[in-house]
Amino acid sequence: MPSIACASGKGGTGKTTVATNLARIMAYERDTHLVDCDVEGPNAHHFFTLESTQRSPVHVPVPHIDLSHCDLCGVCSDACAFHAISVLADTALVFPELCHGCGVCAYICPRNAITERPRTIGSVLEATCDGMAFTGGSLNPGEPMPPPIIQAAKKTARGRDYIIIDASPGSTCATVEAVHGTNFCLLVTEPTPFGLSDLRMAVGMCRRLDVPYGVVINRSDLGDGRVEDYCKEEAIPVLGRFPSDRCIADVYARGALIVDHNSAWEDRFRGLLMALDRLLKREVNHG
Amino acid sequence: MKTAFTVQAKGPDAPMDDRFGRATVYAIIDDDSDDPNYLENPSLSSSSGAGPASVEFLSRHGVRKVVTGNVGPKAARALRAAGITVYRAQRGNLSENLAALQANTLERIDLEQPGSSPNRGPDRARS
Repeated sequence: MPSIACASGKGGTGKTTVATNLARIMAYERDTHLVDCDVEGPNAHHFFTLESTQRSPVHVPVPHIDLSHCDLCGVCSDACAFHAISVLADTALVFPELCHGCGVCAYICPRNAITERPRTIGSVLEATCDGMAFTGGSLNPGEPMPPPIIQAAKKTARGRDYIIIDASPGSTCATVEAVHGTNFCLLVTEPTPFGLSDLRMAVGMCRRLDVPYGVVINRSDLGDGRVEDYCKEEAIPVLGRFPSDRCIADVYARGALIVDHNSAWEDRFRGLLMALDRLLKREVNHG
Repeated sequence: MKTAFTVQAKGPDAPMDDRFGRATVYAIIDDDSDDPNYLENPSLSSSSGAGPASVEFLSRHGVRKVVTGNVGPKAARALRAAGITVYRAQRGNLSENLAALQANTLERIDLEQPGSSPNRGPDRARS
């Protein structure tokens, strides 16, 4: 069951366009699950007609301190890497928004004064659309911590033949969480200095995560040749070169998929899928 | 009673630091002494929660009053719980602010609404 992450250092390079259209092409013949892990700005669901939708809350465990048992020893506060607990002269405070839910405070408390209680930070939406499975993670506004939502969203796709994960842009915790453990990462970039600069960071992230990766150059007929040069120097496979095309913007703006409306683009995405299959096969053989 | 001043360096001429949780140095001065004890802020470069962590740090050092520029919402909650009174620093350095505190001319920060004072710029405490 290969899972493929679509990521990009830079935002706005066409990551969601690639993820959604690739998922559509793949779902024609294969058991496919698209997971939108861009939980701070989910938008992949706009491109599909979702059926039998079901939304479930995502919780993180946060400490609750029973002050009648707490002797204000401060062990929990010293152990917390995120300063989510302040032990003061005559009380102890919990800052739920700082808590990462690791549970060390409850584990370490010598008086067993700490229990963990669930706090809702977002939700996952599960649905089907035209034979494809879909999950979209969504972080509640004001919440600072995307990874638990991403973990919950990825979990819903376990066991599928093919999983496509739409990651958030950048190379932050959220992107790392989405790409971590996948079999391949498609890095969507554009041939501009900004695209190249952020591509380097995304490549560094994939190397650290030990996830094989390749590049899709979007709007490949604009900008300069430095992304191509970089990929050649670093021996990074380029799986697709997509030209700038007003038609794709028109279709996108209507919330539709370009592969459903334009046969030239359908061919391009079929070509991308073939290139991806070849590389996945190679990874399996070498892995 | 101990008072903590947020300052950008050690020494009586050190300019005040506007930031509470991410102040460079805390100058702690006891009421019956003019000799400050300078403590470097252990949470200066922590990724999150510097405000509450600083309240805890100062509380452990027996601080009951703070003179600083701005206080964020999480720090304000911890300061309230710790029973620490907070005064807004004036333009100038540590010794000028110590004199102002002793002369009772510093404005108290309302920890229920800790936003910066509207009639003063954000870097009013910097010299």
